[in-house]
Amino acid sequence: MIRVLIISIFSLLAFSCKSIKIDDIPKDNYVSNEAVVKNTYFATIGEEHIFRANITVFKNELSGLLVVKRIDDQLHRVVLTSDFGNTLFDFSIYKDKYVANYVMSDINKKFILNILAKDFQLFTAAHLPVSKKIADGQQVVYLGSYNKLKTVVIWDTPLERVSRLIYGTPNKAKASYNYTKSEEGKPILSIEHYNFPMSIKLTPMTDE
Amino acid sequence: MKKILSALLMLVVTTISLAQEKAMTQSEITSFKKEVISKTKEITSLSTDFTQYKHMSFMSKDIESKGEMLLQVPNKLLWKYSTPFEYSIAFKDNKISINDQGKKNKVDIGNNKKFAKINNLIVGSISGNMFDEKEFKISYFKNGKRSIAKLIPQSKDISQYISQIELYFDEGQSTVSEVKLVEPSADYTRIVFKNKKTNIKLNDSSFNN
Repeated sequence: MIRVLIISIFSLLAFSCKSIKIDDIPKDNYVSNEAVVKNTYFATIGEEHIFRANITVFKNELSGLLVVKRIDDQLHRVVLTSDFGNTLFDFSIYKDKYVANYVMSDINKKFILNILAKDFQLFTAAHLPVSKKIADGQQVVYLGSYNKLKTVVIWDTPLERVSRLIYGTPNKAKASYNYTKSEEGKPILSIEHYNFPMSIKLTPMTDE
Repeated sequence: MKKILSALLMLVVTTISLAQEKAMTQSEITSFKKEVISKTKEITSLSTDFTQYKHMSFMSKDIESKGEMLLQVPNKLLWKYSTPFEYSIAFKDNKISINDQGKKNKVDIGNNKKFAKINNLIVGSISGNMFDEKEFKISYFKNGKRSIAKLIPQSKDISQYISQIELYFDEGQSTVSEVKLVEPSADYTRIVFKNKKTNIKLNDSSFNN
């Protein structure tokens, strides 16, 4: 199983330059707006989030528990365990670096760790600097950059929170981090990659 | 002064832990092993409820999950989690089948030695017959009426995931009442078994997943 996953992830390299155009957000007519958008989801220091995680990589599936905790201003701890409890990876995530405290040997490849770390740096980011914006129905779309990566931040006006963060631009999106979707009445968070077939679906096990 | 105090404190802590957990004598080890091995031989099947506690040093409390486990010696095993979500995994006829909230998946492990080892490890941990001195460096302790075997895996196949396995046996029982799997980071998973029944009739279909 793990071997299949590794082969799959290796073939990601062939896909990694691909990106897509996002249909449902404006492409131009943005106006200048220097600001910092707050994403509160993982912003509270000490708050512990436990998710049931379903990970799909090239049609291969893996499930387990994902734990996310903001330890202090600089640091989020992100751990994935299997259903039996053994740790698959354990990261300390900072804005501009990461430390792998433990990674199961089968997935301990630098480029896999880099992909995962970049995902969790963006996913857990509490302050998102933006430079342009446009109002679009019940949402406001901001363009910005985080840690030198271009981002699109989508603010849900009625909910008053970030509903989605996109890594890339409206025309060249590489990944999407979603905070406010639901499935069968249950809240679902997700990470979807557009440049290769990998997605992570997270069902909260704690009250979110 | 501080040094003396901390040395004293260390001494007290060590004494307390020694008082709680005492190494078995050679004759205690011999009789304990003999009893477990002979009783384990009599076990053909087992069913039990379990509670699993995942301990991570940076979390304020352990993550708890519950379910039931079925074992048919030598090679059928079902782990069925019921809370906080439904998930089950069955080992049967060299195949692993997973049922994740109705979504099914099958993996053929064939002659994969690593999986065979993991399977033996799980079956051995539960039934208590883990005294393979080639695979593990084993030490034995007593804590009140409990017997404890601590196993340090010798092969890299296992030691990269688990640095120590601790098996707890309640008095008069040859099957384990608790397993603690310690990871290289010192975080661990503790599984506590309750309502154990041995040598009950299990249908083959119980292991269909």
